[in-house]
Amino acid sequence: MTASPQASSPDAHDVNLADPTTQVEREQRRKEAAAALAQWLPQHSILQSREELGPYESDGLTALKQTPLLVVLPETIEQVQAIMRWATETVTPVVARGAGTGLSGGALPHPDGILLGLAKFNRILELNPESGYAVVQPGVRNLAISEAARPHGLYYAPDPSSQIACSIGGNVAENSGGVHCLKYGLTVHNVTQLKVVTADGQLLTIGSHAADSAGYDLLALLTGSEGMLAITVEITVKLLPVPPSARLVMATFASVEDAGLAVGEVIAAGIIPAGLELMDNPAIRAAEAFAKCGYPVDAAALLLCELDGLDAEVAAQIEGVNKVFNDCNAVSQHIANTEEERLLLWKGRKSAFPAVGRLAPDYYCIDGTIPRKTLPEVLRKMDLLSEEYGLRIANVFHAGDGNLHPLILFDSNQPGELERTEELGSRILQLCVEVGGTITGEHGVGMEKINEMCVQFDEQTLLQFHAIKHAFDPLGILNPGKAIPTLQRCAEFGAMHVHNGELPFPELERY
Amino acid sequence: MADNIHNTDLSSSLVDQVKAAIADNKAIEIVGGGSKSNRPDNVTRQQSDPGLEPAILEVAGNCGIVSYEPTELVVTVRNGTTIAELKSALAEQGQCLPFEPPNYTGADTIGGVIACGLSGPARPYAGSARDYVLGLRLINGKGEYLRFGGEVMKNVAGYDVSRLQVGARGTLGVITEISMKVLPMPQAERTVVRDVASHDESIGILVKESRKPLPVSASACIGDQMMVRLSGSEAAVEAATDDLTADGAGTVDEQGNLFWAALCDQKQEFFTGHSDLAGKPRSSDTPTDPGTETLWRMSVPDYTAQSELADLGSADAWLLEWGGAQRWLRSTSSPAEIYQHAEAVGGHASGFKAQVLVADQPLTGVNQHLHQQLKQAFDPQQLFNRRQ
Repeated sequence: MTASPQASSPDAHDVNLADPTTQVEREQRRKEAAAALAQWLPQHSILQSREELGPYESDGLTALKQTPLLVVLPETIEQVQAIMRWATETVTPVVARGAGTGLSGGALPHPDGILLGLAKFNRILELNPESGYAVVQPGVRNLAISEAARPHGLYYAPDPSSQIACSIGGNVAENSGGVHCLKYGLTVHNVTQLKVVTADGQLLTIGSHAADSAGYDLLALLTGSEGMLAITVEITVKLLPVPPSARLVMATFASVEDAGLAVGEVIAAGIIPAGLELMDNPAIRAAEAFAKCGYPVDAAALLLCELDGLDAEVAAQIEGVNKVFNDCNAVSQHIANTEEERLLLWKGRKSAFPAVGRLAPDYYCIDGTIPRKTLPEVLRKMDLLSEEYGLRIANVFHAGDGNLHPLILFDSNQPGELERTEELGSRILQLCVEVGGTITGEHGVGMEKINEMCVQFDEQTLLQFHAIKHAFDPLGILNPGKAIPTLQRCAEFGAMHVHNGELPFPELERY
Repeated sequence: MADNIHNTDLSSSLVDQVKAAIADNKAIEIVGGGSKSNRPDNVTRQQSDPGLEPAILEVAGNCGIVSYEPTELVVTVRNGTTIAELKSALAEQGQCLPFEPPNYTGADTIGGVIACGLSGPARPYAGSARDYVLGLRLINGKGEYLRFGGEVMKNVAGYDVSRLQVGARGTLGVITEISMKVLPMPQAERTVVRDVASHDESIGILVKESRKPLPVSASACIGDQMMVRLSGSEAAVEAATDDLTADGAGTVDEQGNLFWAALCDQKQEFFTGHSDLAGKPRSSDTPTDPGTETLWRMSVPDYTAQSELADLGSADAWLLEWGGAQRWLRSTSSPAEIYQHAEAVGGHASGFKAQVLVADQPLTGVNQHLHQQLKQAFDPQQLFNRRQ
């Protein structure tokens, strides 16, 4: 993703169709749709002027922009149902959007569709400390749940770096992770019930407050389905007790390989840290310059290892981790002395994206996941790719669970540099697949990685995905064109790569 | 890795057999270790379509560990691998499947456990079978051999078809290979037992305890006794034991691990001590024979007061576990009555005889419609496990 404002320069891909007759037709349809939806929605919930639509033309992936036909901001579940019934009758595309912080263009509007913003669904409906759950509307911010639960000694575990702004509905759509998911799991592990509106406007409860439900595990299928199967209108999340003790070890290493090895050894020692993050030197320097959090800027690699639990347990684990890091030739080790210092050290990591963003006019974030043991090989090959494309890369890595975030630095004002960056990004994702990993660990496919899906999955598997989509959304009106590529698109993507040379990794088993 | 693990890849033969069944327009009955399914020869006569004898797909021979790297915390196994073999291979490396796959007969396979979505006593605290599935390979109803998910912890490319298969009972396809997350075994375990006046008292205690950051890893209530297992580092278990016994009402049970193993594998007396529930010849298993007891599993919100379910059976007909979220009932009540009670408290129920599923809470409305559409998406010819 390109997160800096410069990405909105003319070099950014404008996917608007420029055909003037189409534009005239579209204006007409815009008026008709607004008039139709006014039957069920108050006027202030229907946005249709250029100025009103502007803020919605992209999500966190600002390189992709599109003006929707309309933006609707419903306030009740009944209104969402009415919108979906109308969309079904008129076969109008509907793109759901939460806070718009997604990094893969999942909420990129459709030029002939409506953008269904859930921002007004922003209330915590029930917080039940005795039974350890909260029922929330999809527009509630991730961090707001933990803030509300905190006075009861509870919190909501998944903590994506954007948790200040991102919405829980978006987290469900993307199956978001966070720095603590090695120990506490992803969104799918922490959500117990969804209320969803189907493509044809029916309200359905999926999951329950029990441990499981009759029938198929639709809760797992819906979580991470990127708004392709249904619109989530209510979510029940688990609340966990806040661990009495959380302590952070910061260790530096002479090479990224040493740090990577240390990660494996911690786990081999039977310790599962709450968080285990690795940064390379460019990322360390950027984060330190940005957050002034006390990272040693001359270190080749830095590990942040957090341990939580009961006091005695954490003390024993700290001892274990110190020993492992020593055995793995750590250059230095430091345990955060105070809660303030612990939070400051995390702040550096959590602000790594914007920090790296200051090193260049633009940056592009990759989200591949790899088997941890392949880290040295992947880093070596990325160095070669970085040289080949003449673009710098900084690396932050959810090392515990193998989720790699290379950040490619570029300048979209240089002609062709965005295209080269996207090609480099695509090559890195294909490298992740090559070593047995995946093209996206937590940011989703959206529009951004739709071509790379063709690398990861074969035709039959893609057709199976389309059949699932068809089971929920036979007209294909929910977020059309995202997440799962058509076979035609894959054929074109493959042809392009054959044109450039060899098919990428012909020896690969495709899945 | 243990040398004694059988290692046979029958996947291409299984694909061929599925394709042959499609060509012959036959239904398919998937049979693994045979621990959770009626023998097919008893089933065919109950088919709504008696003219169609199902082809039997024996999958237990497709077995062995495909890959296992302890420091990656991932194991990939073929579906026919027995739970016993898998657990012992993991234990050699000091690791385990934290959801505690049940092993009812000793022949139970991981494919069966995943297809049935079974988890043991640790489920509410460590997560369920589906929570640990990272990826799998599946033969769908078109005879296509597909791969979903992978061997990495985080993967959001494509729909989560892997976890969808957990508990689908083979109705969406044949699982041939499963990748799962594994974790280190806890350093220490201890069981605390205390007397309770009623099931509701135990639920009250368990619900309260589970909001505390204690390393509780299992809980159960039978009769007037409540059992809580603590797992984790020595230090954490020690501290939590003190907390749970502080009021003088709890004592440590040195044999606690035997109790949890028996509970997990349904060898505990509650399950085995009644001839209606155990040891019956499989040929006589029919859905809810009148006059004989069925074992009902009621999955309800953990905080549900037992008094809301009390008229389904006297206190000694119940066994509560999972902090109150899973309640076993021996009953001759009609399925309709059980379903109605389950639904009233926001849960669902399924009935078993000798670990064979004989009755399951029906689906309704748009939910039922979506289930049918999904079945169609994976298995358009209605090939697999029709009686499920």
